[in-house]
Amino acid sequence: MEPALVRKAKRRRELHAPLPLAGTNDGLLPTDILHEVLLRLPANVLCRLRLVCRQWRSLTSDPIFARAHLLRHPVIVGCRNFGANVDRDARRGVQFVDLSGNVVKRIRMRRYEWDYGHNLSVKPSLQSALTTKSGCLLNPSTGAFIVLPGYTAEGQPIMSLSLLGRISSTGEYKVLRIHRFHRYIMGSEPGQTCEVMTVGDSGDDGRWMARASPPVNVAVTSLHGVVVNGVAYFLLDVCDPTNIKWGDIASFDLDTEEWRSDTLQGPPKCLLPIADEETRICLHLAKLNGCLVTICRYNSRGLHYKDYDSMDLWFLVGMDKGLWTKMYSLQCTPELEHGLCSPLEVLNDGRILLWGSSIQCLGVYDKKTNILTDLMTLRNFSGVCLYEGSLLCPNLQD
Amino acid sequence: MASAGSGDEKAAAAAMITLISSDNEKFEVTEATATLSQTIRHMIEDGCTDGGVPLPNVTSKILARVIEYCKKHATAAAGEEGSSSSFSDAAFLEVDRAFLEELEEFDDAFLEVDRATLFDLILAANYLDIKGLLNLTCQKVADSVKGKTPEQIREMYNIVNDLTPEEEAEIRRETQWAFE
Repeated sequence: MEPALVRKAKRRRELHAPLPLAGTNDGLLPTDILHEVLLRLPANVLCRLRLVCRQWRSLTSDPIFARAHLLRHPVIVGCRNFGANVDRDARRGVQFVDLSGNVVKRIRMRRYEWDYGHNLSVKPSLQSALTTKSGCLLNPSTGAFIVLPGYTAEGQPIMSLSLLGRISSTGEYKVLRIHRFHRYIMGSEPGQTCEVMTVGDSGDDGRWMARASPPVNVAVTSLHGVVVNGVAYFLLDVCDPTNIKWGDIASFDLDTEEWRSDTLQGPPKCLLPIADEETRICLHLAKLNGCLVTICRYNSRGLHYKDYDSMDLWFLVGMDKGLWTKMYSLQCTPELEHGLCSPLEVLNDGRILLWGSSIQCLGVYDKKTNILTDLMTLRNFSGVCLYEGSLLCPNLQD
Repeated sequence: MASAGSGDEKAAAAAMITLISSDNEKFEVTEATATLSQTIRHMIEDGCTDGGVPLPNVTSKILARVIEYCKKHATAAAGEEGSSSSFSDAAFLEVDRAFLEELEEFDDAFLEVDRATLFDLILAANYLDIKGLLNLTCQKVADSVKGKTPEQIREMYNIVNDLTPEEEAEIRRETQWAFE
């Protein structure tokens, strides 16, 4: 902390600094103002306004500007289905929507792409590509669509999960795919296999490389796995009777392509599927604010109620010490009871953006007032998540 | 002048701050009004407001308008917890709807100024760090730009198009999606 006198002196100096623009206003937009004004326009408008002049182009292409813009204008991305009465080819595809409900970008998908991509399961951890259960990738900057080779070895998996992650040291993208083959039988062969593919910038089809099976059987659904900072995290599979540490997390390092030997202990009080006779708990993983988060849903009204009535968000703050902190506790709002309401991101004002897939509704939750407000309905959308890339600056990296 | 050392609550509530414009005009405002500006708030916290606050970047014409804005919005903030007087959406949740509407009308009328004044207000809001005023004025300019073509904007702001046809084609190619 600086001594008060030094601070005082500094502020005095700041206030007496030379005038940047001493009232010489000739109707031109001063650069400071231009920056502030352009920050308030949606990305698609800004891209069109690059045609105004070189200054406008360079300002809106600047990575610092793009980052500030991203904080101000979160963009939701999802796969839009067609309704029964609309022109199928025109409407289906991936849409980017800002929080005012403007569609800022569309990527149309051709019929065969749609056949692969319509069950797009977009994970929040994706930086600049989308992945689906059926194994396809979409480059959101170029619109290039790659169908990944399917499982070629013998046997047919009963469940598969693909996760995409970026290796920060090399900038490469890798896809990790886990297959589950059969019901778990005590003492039998491991029921899961694991493979990795590196995705090149050129869009070359890579090859699946077999990697070690998970050290413990992991849950193979999109709500139970997430990539944070190049590491894929999975909740353990509760269907496997040998997994007794319910709530623990297995992790795979996408850089070294190895499983970490120890599982990470989950947040406290999340250890049992049934905390007591009256309360039911359900766990999911997410990435919020760049942190690994365990979402812990409760149903305290008894087992015969289907819906969960509250949700705790545990953030892993001390990665090396496995330190979990309960940052949010969302209580019993009627909207939350409508099935699964998934947190997408913590906005820069501290509110949480939530997507209710069953009610097709995007909402924000304010911790201070404990109020959940509907933002918009996104009808016929699936795989909704926060878009982490920048529409202004496709190569913007964290 | 009320001295900064007074611990008396009443004196603190009525504390007046003197703001001095670039053309040396003095404006007496309450502390609640002045502290909508984060810049001035910090100065008050550091006790460097004795003898007035010189604002060499703001003319008396613009400062008068800024104070008009702050007075109106300080009353709105006063209904909230006494310590926080910064303008924020959340702070107004519980305030009477009629008053909010009045505030909105005030803001609309406040923005009925020529372009040069609007830009000066933005510069002042930026310099004095008055979040609400900066938002209001910048949004006004942003809205006026939003539906315009690049040609219309160049005409509005006297901008010369220095892009070559090749560069224009490149922009259209790079972000083709934005032109669809």
